[in-house]
Amino acid sequence: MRWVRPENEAAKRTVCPFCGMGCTLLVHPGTGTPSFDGAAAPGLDYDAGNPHGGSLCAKGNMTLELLTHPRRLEQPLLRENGSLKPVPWERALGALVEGFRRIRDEDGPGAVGIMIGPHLTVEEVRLAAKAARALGTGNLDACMPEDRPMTSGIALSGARPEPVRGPSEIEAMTAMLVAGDLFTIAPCMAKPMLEARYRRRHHLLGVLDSSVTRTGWFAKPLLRVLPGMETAALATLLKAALPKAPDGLPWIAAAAKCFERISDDQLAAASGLDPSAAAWLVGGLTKERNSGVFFTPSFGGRYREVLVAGLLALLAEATGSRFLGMPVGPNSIGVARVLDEEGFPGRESLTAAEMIDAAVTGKLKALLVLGCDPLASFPGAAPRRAAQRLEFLAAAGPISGEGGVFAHLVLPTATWGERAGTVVNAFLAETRFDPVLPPPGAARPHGEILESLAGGIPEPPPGKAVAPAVLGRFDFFDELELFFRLARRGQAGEAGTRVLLPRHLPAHAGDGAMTRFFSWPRHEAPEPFVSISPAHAAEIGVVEGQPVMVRSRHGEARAVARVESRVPDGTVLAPPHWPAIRGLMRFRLNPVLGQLDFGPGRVTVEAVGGPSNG
Amino acid sequence: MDSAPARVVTKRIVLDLDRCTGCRSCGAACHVGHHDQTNLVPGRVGEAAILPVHCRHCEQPACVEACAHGALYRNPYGSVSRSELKCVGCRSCSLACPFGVIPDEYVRHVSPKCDLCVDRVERGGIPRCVATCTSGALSFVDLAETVGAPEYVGGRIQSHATVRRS
Repeated sequence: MRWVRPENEAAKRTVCPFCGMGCTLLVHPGTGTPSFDGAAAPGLDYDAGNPHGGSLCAKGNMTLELLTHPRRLEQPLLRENGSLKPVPWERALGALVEGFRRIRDEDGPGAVGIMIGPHLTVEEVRLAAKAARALGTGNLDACMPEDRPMTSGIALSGARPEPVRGPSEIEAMTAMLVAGDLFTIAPCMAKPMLEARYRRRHHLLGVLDSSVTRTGWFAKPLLRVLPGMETAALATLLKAALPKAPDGLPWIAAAAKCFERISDDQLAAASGLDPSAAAWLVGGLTKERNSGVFFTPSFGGRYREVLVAGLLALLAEATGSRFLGMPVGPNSIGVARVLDEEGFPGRESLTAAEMIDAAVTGKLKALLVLGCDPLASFPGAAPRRAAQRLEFLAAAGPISGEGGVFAHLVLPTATWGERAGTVVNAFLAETRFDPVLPPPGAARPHGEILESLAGGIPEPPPGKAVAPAVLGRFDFFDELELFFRLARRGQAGEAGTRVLLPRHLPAHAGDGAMTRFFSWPRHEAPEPFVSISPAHAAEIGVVEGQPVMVRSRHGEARAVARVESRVPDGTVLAPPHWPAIRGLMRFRLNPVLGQLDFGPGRVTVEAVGGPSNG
Repeated sequence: MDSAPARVVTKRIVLDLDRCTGCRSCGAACHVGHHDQTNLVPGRVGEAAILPVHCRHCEQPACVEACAHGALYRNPYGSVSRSELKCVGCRSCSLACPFGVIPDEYVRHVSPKCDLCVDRVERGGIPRCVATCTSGALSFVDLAETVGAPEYVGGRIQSHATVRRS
């Protein structure tokens, strides 16, 4: 078989739209799948100039599928008499401006909000800020339930560690600490890390996790922690690092004061970490000049991610190591940075999670959702209830997600390879990219929608106040101490229940809001599954491949059982990109931060169609 | 380009087991590059590892001998190919393959078969699975150079090279 490749067509470089590593790839505009009618389709190629040496993970390989996906939206849709009908852009934008203007004038600027996704470019976030200012509201936030706690945690901890600037720096490192399963979420990190690992006989690649993962296979050493107690394990490491920390760190006095009140025995009991192993690992990180600390957002199931991310950043600074926080969104760091610069969400305003809450209670009435799908990203039933209660919901994105079912207005947008912009990756490097292909149908860049909104809204009438203050003071070390006070109580579970740990698949970095629609992940894992240990399987009378029902206090999910000996005792592993599985997790809205706090949810598993013997 | 004489591909895909993280990017690249038909099997070694299992493009291919429909043949590039139009999906090749690299599954009624990404290799490129490998575990090397090369002995298991040697 011969590929039809017009030789004069040069490949164009673009950035992978799936995670924060910023891998580049090449797109040949007129090559790829040969078809009988001779129509040229885009073809993917591997960019040898990419910092990762041309490699792409399973997600990156699906980039072209995003551009030509059957679920791509091509025409604006407006809800009329209960059903969505295609309308021209002028009418759609008119409806958007009119809907927001009416609700803003009637209920005040606190009743309207904009939620943006990590797929927006830096320029588009600036336009979103402009639109929010035109509306007179501070309710502008990013819907990034994974990455927002990470960026907040690092900022709130007060740590300012030196960042890792690229894979070549990792190759030169002689000591590393990886928290979580980095090789699953960001497989491209394996190349530089393993290069470093095999270069020297005495190399330190400490991996901290509760189960043996892809990253754990290569660990030297693997430090096992009790599931759900990752915060305690990191606190143990930080306490061991404090005596040798460099002088003059602004947070050190607060940390020392906090650790005075937490005893070593208390730390060891809570984390399950051997104190001598912790001291040895910290000693290695401190001693080696080229060392790094790496944070994976899935670490410990995102349980208390603000504390976990902050503690890792503090540990990096205390041991003189470089730090990398791996975001699952392609521009999460850029979005968070621009929102901070522009002052959003305002002090008196709502964060993304609070917008969902406010929509359920009826305080928020109009919402524009750009490049994200809160129904897929936030767990529980609240996002669905919020979407149903909103007076006006406009959803703009490249693919029709779950939010589109409830939206009053659906706007098709251009995705990664179809627009120009700047993104900031995990190495804090800014990458500017140009469009390689035109968007399908009438799809337009997000920026044009935001500019129309900003330009079409008149000044807010005076005297209308924005929403009440919800953001308060968050003290990192007070929160850490509180964690230890509550830790002992939280550990004891009800009989027969097990801790639910998320087990990510390489085809989904985060919540799978985009990747769930692609062919490869469906081929890999067509239905939700839950991994249980052989002992657990024998106890409940379940065999490999049998359908089971997983129940927690928050919901239930049907899944297929996989019996695996790597599942730690007292736990159950399940991929969290399935909404039903995510619905089982324990979470609450942290009133101080305005973000979701996940806790280790406890579940029961039983065979479907037969009584459980457990 | 098309008029140039076919060059026999002496290079083969080699896996370094010490580096494979089981991320299945190779499988995804193969899947995407071959129109949703995965020619590469992510094999499972118990629960310990997931690693790609490649077609060796044998010198005396058992699959070619087993194919009753003449769908499998050695192409001018020296690798073993499958004609999609002749394949009826009888799975004889899948049973005959001593390495278990032809997946026992139907996609559009044909059995998947690695074609060594000849479309890329003939232009001086490398197969998709090797290009995409995120950990540097897969390489596309000349077998004559590989077997016995110092970097490939001593602790590292080379699946392909080991098989060829024995």
